Amino acid sequence: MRPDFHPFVIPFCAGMFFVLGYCFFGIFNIIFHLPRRDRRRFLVSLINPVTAWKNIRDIFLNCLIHVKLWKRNPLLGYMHSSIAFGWFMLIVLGHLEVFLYAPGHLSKFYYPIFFNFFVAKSEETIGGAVLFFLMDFFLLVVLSGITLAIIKRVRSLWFGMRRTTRPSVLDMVGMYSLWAIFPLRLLAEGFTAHISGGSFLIIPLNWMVRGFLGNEINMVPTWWAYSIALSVFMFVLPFTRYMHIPAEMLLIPLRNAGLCIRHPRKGFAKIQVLSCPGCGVCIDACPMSAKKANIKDTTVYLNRQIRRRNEKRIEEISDKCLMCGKCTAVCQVGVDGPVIRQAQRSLRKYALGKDYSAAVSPTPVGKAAVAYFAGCMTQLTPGISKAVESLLKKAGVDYTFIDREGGLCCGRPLMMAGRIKEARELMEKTREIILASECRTLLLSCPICYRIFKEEYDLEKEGIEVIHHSVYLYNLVQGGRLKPSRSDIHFVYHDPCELGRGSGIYEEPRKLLRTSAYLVEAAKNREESVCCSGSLGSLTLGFADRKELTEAALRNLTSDIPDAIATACPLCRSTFRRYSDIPVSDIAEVIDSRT
Amino acid sequence: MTSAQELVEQMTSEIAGANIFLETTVSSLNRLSNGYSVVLSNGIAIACRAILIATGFHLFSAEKKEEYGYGVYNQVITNRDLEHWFNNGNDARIDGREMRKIGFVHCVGSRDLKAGNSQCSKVCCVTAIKQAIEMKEKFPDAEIYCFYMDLRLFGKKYEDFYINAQKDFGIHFIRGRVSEVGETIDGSLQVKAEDTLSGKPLKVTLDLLVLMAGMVCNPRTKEIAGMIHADIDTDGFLRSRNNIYNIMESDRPGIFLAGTCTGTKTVPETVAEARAAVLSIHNYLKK
Repeated sequence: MRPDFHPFVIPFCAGMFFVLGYCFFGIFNIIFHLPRRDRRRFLVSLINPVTAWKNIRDIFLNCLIHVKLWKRNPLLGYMHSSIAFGWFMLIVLGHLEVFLYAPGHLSKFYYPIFFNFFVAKSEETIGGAVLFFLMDFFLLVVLSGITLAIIKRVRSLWFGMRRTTRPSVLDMVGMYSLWAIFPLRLLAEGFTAHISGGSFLIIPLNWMVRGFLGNEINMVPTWWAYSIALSVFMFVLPFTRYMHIPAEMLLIPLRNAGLCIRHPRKGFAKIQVLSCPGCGVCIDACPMSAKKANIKDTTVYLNRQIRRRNEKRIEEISDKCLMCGKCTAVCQVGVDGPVIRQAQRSLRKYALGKDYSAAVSPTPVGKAAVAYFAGCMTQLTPGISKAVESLLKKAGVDYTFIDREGGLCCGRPLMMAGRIKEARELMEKTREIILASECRTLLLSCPICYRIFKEEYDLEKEGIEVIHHSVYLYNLVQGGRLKPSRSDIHFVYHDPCELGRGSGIYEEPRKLLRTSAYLVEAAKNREESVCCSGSLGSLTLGFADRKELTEAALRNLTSDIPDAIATACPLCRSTFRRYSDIPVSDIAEVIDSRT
Repeated sequence: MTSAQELVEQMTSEIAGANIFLETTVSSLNRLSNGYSVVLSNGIAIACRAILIATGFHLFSAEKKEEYGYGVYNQVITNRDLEHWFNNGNDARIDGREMRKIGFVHCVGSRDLKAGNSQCSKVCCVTAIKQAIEMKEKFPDAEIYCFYMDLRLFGKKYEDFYINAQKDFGIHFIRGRVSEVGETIDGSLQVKAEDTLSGKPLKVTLDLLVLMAGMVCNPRTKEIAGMIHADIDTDGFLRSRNNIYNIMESDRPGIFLAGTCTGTKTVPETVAEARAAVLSIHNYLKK
């Protein structure tokens, strides 16, 4: 006859109290630090049935099943979901067992965890084959996941990852204790498999390892070891990457409430940082990783340094980033690295503040329904504006080139540099130019301009359609106003970061290109397109540093041996032209040459 | 003034008796135990103890600085195009148009990290002044502008040349880089720059814009360097044993270097270096 309590549950209980207390305090802290408007919005979203359902669904699909990982690599997906979902089911089934067989003990929260030890008190076999089968089944699932996790440490390439993060010491402690929990559980349950219920896994184990499991002396130490492994895991959890397990469950509702990052260390940003599982998918994704020295500047390391409060490194990492957004596109939990960095940059105090409030908006050249705004980058690449103008004339569009005589910056570079106030002042001036042109359509050649005009200028409210030339020209071709002829040239299309990941335009440029040439795809394209590395986002990368990155991006683009490269961004085009062996053109130039 | 043609003829006559192969490239270059074997594209193979590499430079392709509009706008030409016109007197872009305002842009592809070149090409400043004076002589009524970031007039009498250009020819020197070039409907160019001395932006309409394209290493030089495993320096030119006192020697035995294969040079520097290299070879062969 065993009592209802045994000292070996103490480590487990201490760990459990600790981790629950920590999480409770953390949730409070994060919600407290949200700006009042955001906090209201979040709390309201929790009672809204639509978002509430979305929260539950997302938590189930992302935290337990890891659907995004499955899409990335099935083996990686299986490894994560087997551990997460398997463990979750073990907990649920454990409680179900207690509920069915020992309902009086449901209040003791350690009871379901050590159920097999305690229910063996009467030494009478209890029934319930289905439940025991499921328990064994999910234990096996978790064990298979753990096995894969061990293999992954040695052969990460099998899981689709070329490089992974180097775990910190505490991460190692957490990892080894996690690995230890389930084999120890299997062993501990093996002692009582014949009495307290077992199935295909632990009963044969009990027979096979009779020498060890048949000896009662070994039993209590094994249960102690199991409890201690659990306890160690829970005690180190808040300080390791395993913090992502509880953090992501808060991140999902916050994101579904539509919040955005306003401070790099507090509130929403903090929960994003804590949600980073440190998997390192962003390392392979980051265009800067083409140079080994930059690996430690990827988002996973930014999150780690923010958690360690290493100010010097946080600044360095934040300033170096190209802000291409690829880490966000591949991130399994949706950590928005560039936005955290932008928020970090906005904290900086500059000795010399710039004041654009007194800048004079140049008067637009003429008024027409279609206003073409080239922006700084297209002014520096007159080949593109010339081609766009030529196409507009061929299609007979009534347009005006509003910044032919000079314009102002759209404000996006300042925005990315975190100088929000200055950017807003400049944007106000640029807005005046657009409105003065009395246009109904604002045509842009530069995706950098396009994105900010679309996101921040609220021009739709004024009845002005903001459109990039790749889409506009495609519409003209569709409408039969432009009739490009086909050539035999094989083009590869490079998705510019701001147009693709930034604005979600992937299809129109491809369809447009197909009207006049053959299209081949780059090794990584669309959401995973590799930044040309000419981005204005980086504040510290010099030209020499960028060369290698651009060459790596070119290798990715030319994997299918195209004859030429087409893109839809003046900056990408000039950057690639610097080092490309094959011609690089803007999509407008390609179409213009065939019309 | 002596013309380049005469200078070359004079120098070749001084080495009468040497075998000269023109229009010939090096097909292969192999190290022997005590020298090199050189196979030429005309089929001749030469065994030699020493080689002097004097492969010269390449003009920076001005198309790469697209903001200046070379290859995009008709009225934008390079220093080479202009020199061609001086010699042949045949270029529709200059002949077919009234020249009222002409601009020169210094440092095109030189001292420009964005273009991948950090070096100063040394000769463009004074060449721009020379070409500006010549243009003023051909078109006395034209206004001529030189847009520069620095004027590096280090050579003998260069500064005098610069003073004359201003005093006697009325050429305008504007300190500030050109930011953008646009084209107007009649085909003239609209140039935007900043006058950094007055601190004001500047806009001027020009009939011709001459880009002073700089020097970059000849790509063929790199091929030859590859054949003998000679090093390329971080500036993209060949690496000398020592950049201060031994610039005409390479790290490879019997390989000597002269002229712009090791970096940008003026003609006097090149001639002096060539003579020094020949003397080094002489000493090397005597050893």
